[in-house]
Amino acid sequence: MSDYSKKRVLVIDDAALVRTYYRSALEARGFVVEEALNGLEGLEKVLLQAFDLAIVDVNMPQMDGITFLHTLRSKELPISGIPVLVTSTESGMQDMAAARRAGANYYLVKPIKQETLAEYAAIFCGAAR
Amino acid sequence: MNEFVEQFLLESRELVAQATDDLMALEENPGDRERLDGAFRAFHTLKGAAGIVEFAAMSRTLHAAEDILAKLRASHEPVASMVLDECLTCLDLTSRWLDHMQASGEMPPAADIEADDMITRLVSSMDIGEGEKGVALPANNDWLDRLRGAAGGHFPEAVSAVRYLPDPDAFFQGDDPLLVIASLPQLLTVELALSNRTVSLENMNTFRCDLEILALTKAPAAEIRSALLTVAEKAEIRELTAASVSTVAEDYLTQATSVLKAQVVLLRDSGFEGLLGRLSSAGRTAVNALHYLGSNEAITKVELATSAAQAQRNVEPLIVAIERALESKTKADSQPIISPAPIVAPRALRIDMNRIDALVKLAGELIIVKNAIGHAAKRMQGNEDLATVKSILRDQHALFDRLASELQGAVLRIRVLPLRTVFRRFPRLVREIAGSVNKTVRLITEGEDTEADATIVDALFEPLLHVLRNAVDHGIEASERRISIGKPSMGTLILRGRRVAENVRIEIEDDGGGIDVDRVRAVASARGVASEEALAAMADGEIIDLIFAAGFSTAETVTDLSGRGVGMDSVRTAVERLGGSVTLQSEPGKGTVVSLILPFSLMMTRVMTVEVVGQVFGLPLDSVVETTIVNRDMIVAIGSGRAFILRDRTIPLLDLAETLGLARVPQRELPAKIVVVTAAGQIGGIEVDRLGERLDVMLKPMEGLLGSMRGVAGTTLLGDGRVLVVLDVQEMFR
Repeated sequence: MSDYSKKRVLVIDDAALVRTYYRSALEARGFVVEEALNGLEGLEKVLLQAFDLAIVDVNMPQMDGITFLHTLRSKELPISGIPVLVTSTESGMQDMAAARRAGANYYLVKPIKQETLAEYAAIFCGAAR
Repeated sequence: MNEFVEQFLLESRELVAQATDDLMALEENPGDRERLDGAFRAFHTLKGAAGIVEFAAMSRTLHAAEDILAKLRASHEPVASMVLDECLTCLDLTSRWLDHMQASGEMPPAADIEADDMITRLVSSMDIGEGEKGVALPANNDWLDRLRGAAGGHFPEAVSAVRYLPDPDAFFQGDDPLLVIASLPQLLTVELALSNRTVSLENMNTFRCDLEILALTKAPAAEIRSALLTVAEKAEIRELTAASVSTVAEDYLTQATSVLKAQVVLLRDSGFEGLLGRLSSAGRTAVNALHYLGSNEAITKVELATSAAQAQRNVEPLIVAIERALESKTKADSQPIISPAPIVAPRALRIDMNRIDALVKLAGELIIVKNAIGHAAKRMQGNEDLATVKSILRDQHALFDRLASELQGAVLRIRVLPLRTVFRRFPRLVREIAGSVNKTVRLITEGEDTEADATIVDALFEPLLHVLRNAVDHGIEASERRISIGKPSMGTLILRGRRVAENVRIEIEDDGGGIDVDRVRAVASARGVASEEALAAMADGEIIDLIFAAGFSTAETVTDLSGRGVGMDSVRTAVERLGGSVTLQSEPGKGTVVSLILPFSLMMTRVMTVEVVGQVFGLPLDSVVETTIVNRDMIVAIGSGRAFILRDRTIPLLDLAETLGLARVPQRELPAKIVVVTAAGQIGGIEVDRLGERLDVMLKPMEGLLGSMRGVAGTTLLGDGRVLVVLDVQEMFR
């Protein structure tokens, strides 16, 4: 198993259950996990700390995932260059297209199994298998 | 069931409550966008939570409701109450499912059928609410399972699944839905079904395309997406990631490839806005995905291309580099992935941080007292003046006493819930009850923040519902009558909670007609609840109290609501079982107030002591109904047992001494002293030698070798140090 101990993942989701679920999947694989409750908090976090990946929900109060992405991508490098994996329960094409237009690097449809999420995070954080 | 179920249950209940609140508020004010947004988000989050615990029926039901709320959000029109009702019903169904999961630890068995019904109701409510405008597509997350079932596990190599619902008018628009599907890359299998369940051979319109097309392919989802671009809004595409466990390693390689491809799509779609960020993130993602794939030689090229693209502010160099890397991707690297060990989530309880802090503080103070007592002991050994030690001990004891009771209070407060958890279920139930008897009633709740032991709060629902039902059914007058006597046509019920010393007091107040004392008197006489003479002698207050008597119900016609064979006596029984009491005040023409007085906590058990053959035993007071003295001639032998008559009911009678195997001289001459108890819903009598006193005790369950002993609820120490054995009444009557 590769070591991801230095890889930092930011999970942005308003549902505590989802955050815990992701966190336990990611920490089991050695990722360092930070959480944010909405896009606004997510922005605060990325401004203060470096991340290798952000996993972002679409539907959130205060600031949704798409707005977060738009704002993130319009910032200066390197903050604007954080890879973003968007997760949502919406499987319609419009939602994926909206996420892509906002600058999402990938889109996963919820529910996502723990091992699937961890593996995608591994792909995004790029340790060789 | 997985390890997140516990947290799922906890959060889902909060979300259901939140959604209910929002929907109720919307009902009051159908134009409240904020509440609509709140309800939508709560449904959305609930649906996501259901997905995590793999509860498919709940997930698709909530999805259907969420769809409706999403439409309402988009429509900018006030929300129709019909739609709200169905959404609320949907929450009720969800609550019942949660109850079932909590009680049994299993998914509810009938959930799938219930979900189908609910979805149909939701969809049709929207049809009616919206007229002919938008017919919601049935929310269907189960198509994947149907497809898998139809494929019968024959296509483990499948990467993507497609669900395509062609436009019913597709044939007229010159579309050929099957051709669209047939053109999908690496197609494995296709399943066709009717998209409209009401279509049969008789009423089939051959010009309508009522088809649901399901397909499995080996191509990744991104590729399918581009193939289906023309019918994007009609198609749903799923990547079959976690489903096929046998090919996990293969799948993830495919996924890494698909992540790479997605970067190309992202770059192609890029405008100028945020271009540098897109380039950088796509470059980083591509490099990492290549790392993952082990295509090391391509990494440098992509890194170079990223910086070139950034310098030129042009996506092309990076697109080219990624596409080349994709072409030359080697397939040699297929080491199996070991999946991570499952993580066991700790059992958790949500407690306000302040309460924990209070405990920590108390623990600290207790340590100080402990040290002070130790210090006093040492001084005593050192032959210190006894008077000094005495005063130290007295002071420390006083301190210890205070801390111990504070600690007890703090521990009890951990177990409390606000009354809101039960109160908030009522506004809607009251509305429904009122609607079913054609009355308009509003329920006002007050003091929802009042706290009580979780066990009590949970047990309050039934009795409160009963009292509220009674108030709506018998208390509040019909609208016409109300108007004729100068009251507002809408009746008002107030459900109020407050803390009174060590008790929680809950009042249900209505502005109805009050209780008709003469009628109660007549009914009581007709039903034989009390004799004519006794009734004549009773004061009005006592007469009203008869409402609580067993077998009394003033409703002349049995309605669907209150007349279910149980009257207010069931409320009294339920409340008394919790260690509380019920009182009722009524003013003719003005209304009625029913008060439930409950203990704040259940940790203390109230017992009644009884004596038999010189030994003292305890009986849990919550199972004691009354005590009575009966003449021997009223006791009759029935079969091998005995029974006595109490207010025209035959009640089985046990002799405590005999039951416990204690020998004694039969006392035939004295009247029998009997404790009347309820056991498993039945009434029974226990004959004892002497009735004792009531005590509040901390009951200790039997442990160790005595743990399996039957008939004993637990033990406690009496003030004089004797052990009091508290008997299990249920067991005695088994």
